[in-house]
Amino acid sequence: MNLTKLSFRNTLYKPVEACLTVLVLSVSIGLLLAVQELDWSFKNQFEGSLNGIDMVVGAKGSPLQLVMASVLHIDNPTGNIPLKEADQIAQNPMVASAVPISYGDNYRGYRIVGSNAHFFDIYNATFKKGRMMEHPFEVVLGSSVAKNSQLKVGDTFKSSHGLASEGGHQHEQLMKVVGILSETHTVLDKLMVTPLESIWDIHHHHQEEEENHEEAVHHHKEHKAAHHHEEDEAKEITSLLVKFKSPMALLRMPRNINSNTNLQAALPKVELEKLKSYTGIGVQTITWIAYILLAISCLTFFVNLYKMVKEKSFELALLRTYGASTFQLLRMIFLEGSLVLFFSMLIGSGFSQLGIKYIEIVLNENYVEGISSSIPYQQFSITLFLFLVMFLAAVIVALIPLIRMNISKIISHEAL
Amino acid sequence: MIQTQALTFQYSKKAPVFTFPNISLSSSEHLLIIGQSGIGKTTFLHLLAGLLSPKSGSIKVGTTNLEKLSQKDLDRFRGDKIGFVFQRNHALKTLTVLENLQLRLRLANPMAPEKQITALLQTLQLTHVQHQKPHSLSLGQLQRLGIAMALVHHPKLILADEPTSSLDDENCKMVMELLLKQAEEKQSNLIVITHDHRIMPYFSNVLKL
Repeated sequence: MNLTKLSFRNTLYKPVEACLTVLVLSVSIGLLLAVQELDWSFKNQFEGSLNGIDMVVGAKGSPLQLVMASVLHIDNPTGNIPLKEADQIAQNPMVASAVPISYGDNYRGYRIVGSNAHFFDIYNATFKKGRMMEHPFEVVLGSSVAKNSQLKVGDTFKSSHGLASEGGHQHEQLMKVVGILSETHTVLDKLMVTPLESIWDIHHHHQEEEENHEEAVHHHKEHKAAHHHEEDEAKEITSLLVKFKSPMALLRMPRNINSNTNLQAALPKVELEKLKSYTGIGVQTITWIAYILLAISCLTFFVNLYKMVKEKSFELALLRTYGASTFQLLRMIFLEGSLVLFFSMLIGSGFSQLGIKYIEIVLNENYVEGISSSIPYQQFSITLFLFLVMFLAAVIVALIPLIRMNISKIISHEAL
Repeated sequence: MIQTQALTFQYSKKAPVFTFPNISLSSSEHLLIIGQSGIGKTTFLHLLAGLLSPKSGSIKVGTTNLEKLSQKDLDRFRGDKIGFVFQRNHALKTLTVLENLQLRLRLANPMAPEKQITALLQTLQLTHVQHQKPHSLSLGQLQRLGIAMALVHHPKLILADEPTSSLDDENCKMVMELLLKQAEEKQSNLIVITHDHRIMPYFSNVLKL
């Protein structure tokens, strides 16, 4: 038996009290970590999704909607734009890269985006399995889609019209999975990518089916040939994702497009800053609530430790008469506090992970942005450091009576 | 051996100064200190244990001058050389009888053999309750545990503060006989302070404060 073992015994002596203290601390630590993890995750994914896109060109409408729909893929598009006009913008000397995207279909709620190989460069995506799509109706899956849909390379599926998981008309054309991407922690993880031709062909076929009901059968052949020619001229995309060669273009190109064309140019960073200024208040409020909760928990912890030192004053004085030094007793009480802290951190981290998992499930069900990897070590260290500072402050204040302890008075049955 | 010289103590600057007579006990010699309440009996005992620092004077236990020791050395000295018996016997409630004795022995001397505990438990008839916690012991067993805690590390000086005042005659006799027997066996000095006249016949050396 030694003082370290005694610390364990003392901690477990009043299990209900110890458990309640651990629970209160765990909840506040868990809440703080979860809020920070969510905040970091969303920020990280927003930034990752924005990276490499300086400007989005689409149909006139709300610029925020255009960015939400074309960059974050969480809104409906403002409309379509002619490919021909998008090509003209792409050829502008100020443009470093321009990636056309087109969408309007889904598979179980996952958006199918028509684009080209450059689309993957925006997100620095790499292949986990399979290869790049090369022909119409070949599809590459984002990591989350592959994980949740259970689709594998070589599988085929039928897409549905529209962006909602239910209610859309199912296309007859089979799509084939040819590749699966590694996790990028960007919106790409939630997307299915196919060549632009797939989207055009599916919708051309869909349009044709509708028109066939109205048109006379004997005019079919002549009309179809003419229609194909017209369609080449009138091909549309949903938007164009543009990266500039120089920041100077940021000042000139969007204004030029918005003033002189029927298209709309939106700057994702500007639009998402606006969005963050609205949603950021909520995140900040929750973070402050978590900090206040943590402070209250530390106060509770301090009160419990202080009460414990006072209650145990006779035992501590007794240990001094046994030859234990003040330092040994400080170490013993510190260890008791540390045990509570350790379990609180452990359970708190568990709570935060459970909470994150729950939110992840809810988000996945709603086919919106998922949670990326866990909070970075640096951010976690800051939280841990903050908590340790508060913990140490509580311990030091609680240990003052022990340092000032008058053994003679206590063992003479007087108050500490 | 224990010696005090011109020992005085003051709790605070405005408080009265206690002046204590010189004592000198050779090895295995025992002393009973009696006196009215508030005369400073417990203060004297605590000075001898190094729990209080004297205003002036000196205390020598064996060859060690207590006033010359640092706080750390004094803690170590107290743990190793001194054993306390209190009026109401206390032990650490989270530990069993055996664990209390193990901890006490470990604090005095980490290398001390545990057979000292086994022997003492047998002598004090505590073997059958060694795995019980203090709250489940009878008053007599608690008193014996108190004595065991004071003696387990074979101290050179045993200090007892009113060890019998809350006991009936039978337990009073048992405690005194045990203390004296153990002190003689371990060649220790025993100093008892009390206002319990029942124990006066056990001592030939009595100091009235």
